[in-house]
Amino acid sequence: MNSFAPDPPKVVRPTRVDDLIDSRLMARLQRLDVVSRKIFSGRIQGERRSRRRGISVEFADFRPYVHGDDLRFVDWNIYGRLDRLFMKIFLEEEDLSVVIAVDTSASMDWGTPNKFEYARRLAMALGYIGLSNQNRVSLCAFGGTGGLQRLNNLRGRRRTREMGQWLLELEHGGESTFEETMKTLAHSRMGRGVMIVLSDFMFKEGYEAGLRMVAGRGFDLFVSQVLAPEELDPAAQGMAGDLRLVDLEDEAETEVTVSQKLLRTYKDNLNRYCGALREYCIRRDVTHMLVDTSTDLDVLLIEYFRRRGLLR
Amino acid sequence: MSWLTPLTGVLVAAFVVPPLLLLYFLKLRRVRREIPSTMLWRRSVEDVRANAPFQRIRYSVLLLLQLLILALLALALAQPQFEGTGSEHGRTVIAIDHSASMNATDSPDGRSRLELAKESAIARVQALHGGGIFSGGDEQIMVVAFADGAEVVAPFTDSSRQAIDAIRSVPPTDTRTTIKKAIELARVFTTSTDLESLGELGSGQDPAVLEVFSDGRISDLDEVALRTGEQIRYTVVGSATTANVGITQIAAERPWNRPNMMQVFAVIDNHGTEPIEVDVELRVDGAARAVTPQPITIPARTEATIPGTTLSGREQVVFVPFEQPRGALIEVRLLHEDDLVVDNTAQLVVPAPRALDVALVGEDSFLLQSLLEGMPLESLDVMTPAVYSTLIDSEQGAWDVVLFDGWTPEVLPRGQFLVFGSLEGISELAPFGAAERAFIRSAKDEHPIFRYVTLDDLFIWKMPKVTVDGDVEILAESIEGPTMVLVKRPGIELLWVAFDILDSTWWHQRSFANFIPNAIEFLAASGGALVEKSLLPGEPITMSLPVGSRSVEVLRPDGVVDEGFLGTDGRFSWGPVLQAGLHEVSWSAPGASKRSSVVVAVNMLDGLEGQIDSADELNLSVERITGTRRSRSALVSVWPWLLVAGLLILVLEWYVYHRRVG
Repeated sequence: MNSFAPDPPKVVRPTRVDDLIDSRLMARLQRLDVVSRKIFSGRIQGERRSRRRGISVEFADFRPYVHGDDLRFVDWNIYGRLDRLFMKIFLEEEDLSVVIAVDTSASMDWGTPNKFEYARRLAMALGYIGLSNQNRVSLCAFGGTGGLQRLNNLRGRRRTREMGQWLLELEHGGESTFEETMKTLAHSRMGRGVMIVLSDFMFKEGYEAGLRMVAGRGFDLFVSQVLAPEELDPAAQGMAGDLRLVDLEDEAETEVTVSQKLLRTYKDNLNRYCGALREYCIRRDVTHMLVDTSTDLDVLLIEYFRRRGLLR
Repeated sequence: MSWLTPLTGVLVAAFVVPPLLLLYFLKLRRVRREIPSTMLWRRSVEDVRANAPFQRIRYSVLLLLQLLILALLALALAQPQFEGTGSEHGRTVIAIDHSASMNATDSPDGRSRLELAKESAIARVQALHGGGIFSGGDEQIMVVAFADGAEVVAPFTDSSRQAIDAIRSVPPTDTRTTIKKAIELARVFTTSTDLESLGELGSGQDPAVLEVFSDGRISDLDEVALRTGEQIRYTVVGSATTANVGITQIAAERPWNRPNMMQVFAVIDNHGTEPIEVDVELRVDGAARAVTPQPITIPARTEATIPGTTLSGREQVVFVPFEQPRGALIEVRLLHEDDLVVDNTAQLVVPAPRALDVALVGEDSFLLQSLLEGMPLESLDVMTPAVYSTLIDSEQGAWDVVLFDGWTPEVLPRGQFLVFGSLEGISELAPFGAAERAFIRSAKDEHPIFRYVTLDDLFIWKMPKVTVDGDVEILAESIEGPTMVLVKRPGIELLWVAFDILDSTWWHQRSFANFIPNAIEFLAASGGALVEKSLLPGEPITMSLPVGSRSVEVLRPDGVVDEGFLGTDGRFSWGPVLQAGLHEVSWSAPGASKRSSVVVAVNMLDGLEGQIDSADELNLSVERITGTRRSRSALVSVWPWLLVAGLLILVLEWYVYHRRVG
């Protein structure tokens, strides 16, 4: 009666910002930018067109003058011709709000490569892309022992180290609080923009309520489901025998005798679970991206994320 | 069913089953492994269970199998025995048939029936003695080997080792099978000295059971009747469908008018149910002389008129006469392979031709005298009964054949005799009156004395009426009773003709002129004058050696040298002969520098013994004993099978587990 359940190799934790993102990757990421499929209104003028009409070089429309309008935007030419006051309306160029939410629950701290470390490096890379393109980058971590941790409104490449340090100091472990976190984010005045959620989405309470919170609130939502190779194909990783599986988050136990049939059923259930998440996302105009932590980060960002429309 | 060591089984079950249960649960202590979420695994396990309605049962299958293994082991250690497999009485006579048919090698592995019978008997002894490792029995066992006779190989003993050694020592023989002597022998050893219950097998003590290990081809079953309390159990050895072809008769003769020539006859029987073709070879002094030009087809056996009996298919072979002026060893061999080898060869020792010494004793026997004078005899002595009576002791053995015409001595000496019209000294023939005007109703025309002889025209004016008793063969019979009878005694062969020649019409018929040479030739051949007589296995070798001979040895076919009994009068006897083949008797004659020797051929010419398909029943005179083909001990030794079953279930358990896990 042999059981095989090798202990995962010890995780090498990054200690410096350079461990999260190296200069080579930074150089490659500078060419990329975060893409929003929607035009959002930002707080300050940025590099994007905004549907908010205002001061800009790009003329959009006229509207009649009402009391209190800024007289600087009265079209005096029309006034001269028609003797009526019309306000010139411009498309205002706004900054893009990029919110990166990282799941730091205990379930993420598992796998080879470690899902949490992978998500942390991914968040660092995406944040760097946002900072490089003058986007307003906000990070939040949920599910960790520290509760909801946030780092708001970073702008400009010089904030990179601050962002990295914040990521390095993230506390992880504990149960996920996805729904609560999403609710908080939805109601926070972070401005509308692109939200990228990095998580394994193994929420026993379900992901639907959490996603519903943010999917309809003006965010261009990207869901990146981060899974380890051991989760995607346990048999290939040598899972066998009589095992008592212990949930890292709530320590719930499940006794299994790993057989071919059970492995097949597990993979079917995994595919069904991921498929349901994907379908749920599609229905709500959310982009779902399944990320295998064995995938090289360069390849993921430059090829996969670009193909899926998150980056360009 | 009884239990030999029930306590052992119970103790083992008590000590082993609980640890197994413990081990089973210990085995279920699983390896702990942390995973991100048990959500999907729990769902998968539930799915597997939901899709397999017997999942819960399958989980316990391993435990059930292991419990079954242990139960079998415990049962095996308890050594269950079935009722009736052992003796119920404590005394058993193991009787092993070691006759010729038991040498048949019709088992799949080529072992002889005797070896199989020994194996079964040994297993039976082990069963009677408990057959187990942990206990023994106190069964009294006697071992008897029977064939033509019976012999106690081991008297009653409670030592299984002694009984088994005795069984192993039973030698193969080529003799026929009789069981009567074995039963009588068993009775002698098991009969109580208590006169009130004398005659009952085992009375006075626990009655003994006779267990017979045989192929059932026993010649005297109809002479056996069981007494009250006697039990026979029969274990059948050998296949019931084994076919066999064998030589059942062999003869060689030198025609009286051409003594340098020799003619060989053989009779071949087919005991099988299908006709068979065989080539027959004639060998002289070890060299092939002739082979039948084409295979001889021997018909299959047929059902006889007596229900349950059969008549073997038979064919006669006559080889073309060939010149053989010297003595020779004649061998007829079937070029055919079957499961019984001993009857595929028959041998004869033929001495060099010589003319016969004949005496005629009678008053005024001119007819016989004139006929004998016309024959090429070495010598013819004609004398009156009075003269013969004076010579009867001194000249005994001087004549090859003596003819008595109307007179016989009161006590017949050893020799061959042809008697006309006298009953004196022939105790086998009891007169009860006289008959007149008789003619021959039937005769054994195939007998050598009737070659070129027809008795159809024979009319007898006067003859005595007789009844016959003992070892006699009626060769011709008239309406008034036996007319020509062949009487055999040890050392004596006598052909009796009931009437005086002159009281019949025979004297002027040509058949009479043929009958006299035939009869003299036949009697001389029987006495070994023309052709050395071959022996059957079971008969003794007897011969007269020069007085004063010493160190007589018999070289058996298997190369073993035995010493025989030599009387002071020079009569030598050894036997009974147990093996077919050539036996060489050698001796040192007084005054001779070299040892003299003579070769005696022994042939297994028994048709019943050659019929080697085993019988499932022993048809005694009254009872019918149904045999079993399985050794009675096989049921006793249940524990090895339980162990085997346990091992198989262990393999099954291993398979089930790995099928689930792998």
